[in-house]
Formats: sequence, structure tokens, C-alpha cells
Amino acid sequence: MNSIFSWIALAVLILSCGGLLLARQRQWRVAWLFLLYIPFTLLLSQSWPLSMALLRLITGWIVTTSIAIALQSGRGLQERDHPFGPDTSFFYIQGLALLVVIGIGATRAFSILITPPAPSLIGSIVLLGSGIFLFGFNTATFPYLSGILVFVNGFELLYASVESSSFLLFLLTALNLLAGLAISHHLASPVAKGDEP
Amino acid sequence: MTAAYLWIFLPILLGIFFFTASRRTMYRWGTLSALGLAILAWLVPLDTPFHFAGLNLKVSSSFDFLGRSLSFDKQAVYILILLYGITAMWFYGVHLLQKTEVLIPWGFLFNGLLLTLLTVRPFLYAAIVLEALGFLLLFLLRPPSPGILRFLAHQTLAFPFLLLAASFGSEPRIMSDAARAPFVIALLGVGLALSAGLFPFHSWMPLLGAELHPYFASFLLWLLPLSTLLFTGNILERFSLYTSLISLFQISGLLMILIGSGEMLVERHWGRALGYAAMIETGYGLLSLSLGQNGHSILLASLFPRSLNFVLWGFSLSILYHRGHGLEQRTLEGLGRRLPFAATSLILAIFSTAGFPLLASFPWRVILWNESSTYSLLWGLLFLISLAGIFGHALRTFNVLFAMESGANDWKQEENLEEKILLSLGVLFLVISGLFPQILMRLL
Repeated sequence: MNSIFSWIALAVLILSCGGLLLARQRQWRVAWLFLLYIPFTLLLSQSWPLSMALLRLITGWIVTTSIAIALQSGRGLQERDHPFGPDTSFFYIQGLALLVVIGIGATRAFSILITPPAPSLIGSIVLLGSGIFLFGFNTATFPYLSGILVFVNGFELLYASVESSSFLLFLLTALNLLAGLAISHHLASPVAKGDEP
Repeated sequence: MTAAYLWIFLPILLGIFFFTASRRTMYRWGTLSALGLAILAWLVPLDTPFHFAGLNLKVSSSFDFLGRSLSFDKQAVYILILLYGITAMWFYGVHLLQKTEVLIPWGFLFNGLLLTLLTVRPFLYAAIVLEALGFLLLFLLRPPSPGILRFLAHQTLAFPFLLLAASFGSEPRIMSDAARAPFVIALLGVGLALSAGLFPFHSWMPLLGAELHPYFASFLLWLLPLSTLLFTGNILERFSLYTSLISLFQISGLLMILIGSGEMLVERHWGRALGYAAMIETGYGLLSLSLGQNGHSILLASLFPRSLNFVLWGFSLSILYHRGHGLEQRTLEGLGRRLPFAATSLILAIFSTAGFPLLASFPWRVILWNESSTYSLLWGLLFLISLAGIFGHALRTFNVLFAMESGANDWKQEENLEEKILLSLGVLFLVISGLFPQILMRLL
């Protein structure tokens, strides 16, 4: 039963990543990011105690909410971001499919060093790859930084099977909150002339 | 009382406090606090009881938290004296330059994080601290500069590699396994290459130099490569993988100094040239690290002249920037005749980076050149060519700043007295540390 849930969580995670990659409007990107943290937490709970995983869910939602509020106050929620690289949906769908295939292939290769549950490993590779797609093909601040956030989350999922200490949870939570604050800081305030050092 | 309270948490709190302080309070108390922290580090013995104002005190070198610790060893104490001492110089320069006061709170925060990075045990968590440093940089600029975004992206890509390598590398079960060890070495190599900005991941340095105010740029180009380089040195010291990565550091270090000095020679934007200087210094640092344990000591000893070069370079360039309204070469032509102190200091800082005799970096460049020549004559020659590139940039700077139409005689001294004193002191330090490098060696 547990296994079925984790595969369902993986499917939702892939869907969320697809949404993040394909959406152009910022409000949809925020919505997909919000949804992404649910399967992320479910997959994380396979390696970590549920209480620790839930703390990451709350952190993720705080980060997403702060980004949404920042976009709302900066009136950037309705804006659209266009990647400078390939702009076709088909490219991203192909990319996502490739990531899933790499993830499935990696379940054997990674077993030399670590043995995370297969859905977690595939999920982490999908997140890592989606993050790279987002910050690799975007110069606009929001998709670029949200790509970095997604990449960090992907690694957390992978590393959860290596270590499950409360110190690591503390560090990662602090890092995510800092990332959320930094992204919100950029999106909230318009650039004032002479503001930059 | 623990060392972490004094030199990590207190500076971070000071940094937060200074965000709300006035410009005058900032530079006065900021400079005094940084200097005080450096003097405290010099005077206070760790883990040894001492008497102060009738009280028995003891500063513990280790701070434990959730089963992990922040531990200050002898090397960390040396770095923190240097870090806060040099930071005090940066902070003092703030009151003479406009729109740079925000450097003080951020300087304290970055210093606190850098020391966390060097003292956290187990050492693998340092990669997360480095990533946090990248995110903190985002608060500096709106919109974020491509240089900062690229630095953040490189640290983001590096930290999974470093964390996994450190995690597996500390397990003797994995490292004794011949099949798995190369995998760990590859993880570490890629992680360090991305994190330390090894060639070809160095592009954020010239970008940062071109985009920011030169005082900020020089501060960041001093601090960020320093953090990543010390992190690299520390991570290598803790692994038995040293020999496997020597070639990577040698080749990459040599490429960085050659490409950096070549680019610097043809660069017409002096902010970008500053970025190439950071790239070159990283290259020399990597070459030092490739010499093993001895090289690590050379790297630590060369931190002071390297820092001095950057402070003087940044300060004098900022004075020229304000009066010349830009960093493009054409906007600075002939400015040396109006600002002779700033121009001379800038030229001497560049000469010092090139290892010019009697200046601060000279003894360390000679040692490194000697070691490179011992390894291979070709390497020694390439090392000299890299120095020639920086030397060429210094000569061109001289030519541009003091360019004069024939018959013209319009010499002035537009710097104020305080600027002149600071610049002269900087040059004096540059000469003294070049003439008496043994003082630094004794400190080590």
C-alpha cells in the first residue's frame, strides 16, 4: 500500500514539474510549486520520519506563500516569463520524459553507493533536471531562482536516504527559508534608481 | 563562553544591528568592532583560563549544537585575525566613498558565514553554508546581477557533489573499496571545480567586477574566492584523496592564471580587469594547493598580501571611478594627473599582484615560481608568462592614467587629506610586507 502511494506521489511530482516547466504565467508557476511540495513530502517520508518530512512541507509552503505574496505586492503575478532557449512545450515534455528514463536507469547505477527507494530516486532526478531546465533556459529572475529552489529540493530527496539527522533538517530548512526570502525580496520591491551598489 | 559566540554569532548580530544604524555609526562602530574582534582573536587564548578585570574567564574552542560542532583550531584563529583585520580596513574606507555603507552589515554577515564554513564539523555541512552565502548575495542587488546569479548557480550545482563526496569519503567502508573510490573522487573533483570557480567555471568573477561598484566588487572578489579556496583547502586536508586531485588543480590553476592574465592584458574595462585579478589569484591559490601540505601553508601565508592588494586596488579604483564617472579605459585617461595618489596606489597594487620585487606578493610568487620550475621547466616558463600579462596591464594602466598631451602641465592633487593618508598607508603596508615576509611566517 505504502509503495502504491509513493508511485502515485511520484506521478503527481512529475505532473507538478511539467506544470512548472510549461507554465509561462507566474501565478501558475507558484500554484505548481505549491502542489509540488505535497508529493515531495510523501517521497521524503519514505526515508525520513513523518514529523521531519512534514516540517519540510510546512517550510516549502511558507516559501511558496512568501513568493506569492511578494509577486502580488510587486504586481508581478500576472506577468509572463519567456525562456531564452527553446520555447516549445514539446521540448520540455521530451526533456521531462528523458529525466524519468534517466531516473529509472539510475536506480541500478546508484545502488553501488546509496539505496534510496526507487520512487524517491526517480523523483529526485526529475526535480534536479527540472531545476536545471528552469535556471538553464531562463534569465528572468523568478523562473531562474525557482529553478535553483527546485534543484535544491531534488537533492534533498536524494540525500535524505544518506542522512536523516535533525541537524541536517535544521540546515536545509534554514537554507530553504533563506532562498524563499531572497526570491521574495527580488519580486516584491521595484528597482529604485540608484538603489544598487 | 565559546569562540563561536565571539567570532560567528556576535558578528552576525552586529551585521543585523548595522542595517538599522546611521552611516556615521556604521563606519565608526563597524570598523572598531571588526578591529576589536581581530585583536581579541590575537590576544585571547582558546581553551586556557585567563584573568580579565578580576574575573576568571575561559573561551572554549568548540561549540556543540544538535550533535555537531563549530571548532576553532590554530589555522582558523589565524584566518579570523586576518579576516577581521582586513575587514576593518574595508569598513574604514566606506566613509570616504559614497553609496558603499551597506558593505558593513553585509561584511559582518559574510564574515560570520565564512567562519562557520571553516569551522563546522563534520566538514561536509560547509557546502550548505556556501550555498547559503550564495543566496545571501541575492539581497545585495536589485535586480540580481548575472555575476551573482551565476555564482549562485555554480554553488547550487556544486553542493550535491560535495555533500555526497564528503559523506561517502568519510566512510572508510566505501573508500577502501577500489570500485567505489574513483566515483567519490570524481564527485569531489566536479564539486570543487564548480565551487572554487575553476576554469571554465570562473565567468562570474569578471561579470561581478563589471557590474558592481568597484569597492563592492573588490570586496566580494576578495571574499568569495577566498571562501571557496579555503573551503577547497580544508576539504582536501581532510581526505586521503589529495594525490588524485593534484593534476586537476595544477592544470586548472595554470590555465586560470594564463587565461586570466591574457584577458587582463587586453581588457579595457577596469572593473572586469579586477575580476580577472580574482581569477588569477584563484589560479595561484590552486597551484599552491597542488603542492600538498607545504602548498597549503604557502596559500595561508599569501592571504595577507593578496588581501592587501585587493583592498588597495578596490579603494584606489573607487576613487578614480567617482572622479572619472566610469570604469571604461577612455573615461579614466589622464586622471592620474588629477589624482596622483590614487593612480600610483592602483598601479602599485597591480604591480604587487604581478609579483614585482619589494612589493607584498613578491616573496610568495617567487616561492610558487620556484616550486613550479622544480616540477617542470615549461611550467615555470608559463608561470612567468602569466606574471608578464599582469605586468603588461600595470604598464598600460600607468600609460592611460598619466597620458599627457605634449606641452600640457596640469598636475593637481584632488584627493583629500584622509584619502592621501589612507592610500599612503596602504602602499607602506604593501612595501613592508614585501620586505619583511618573515613576520607573516612567524605568525603562522
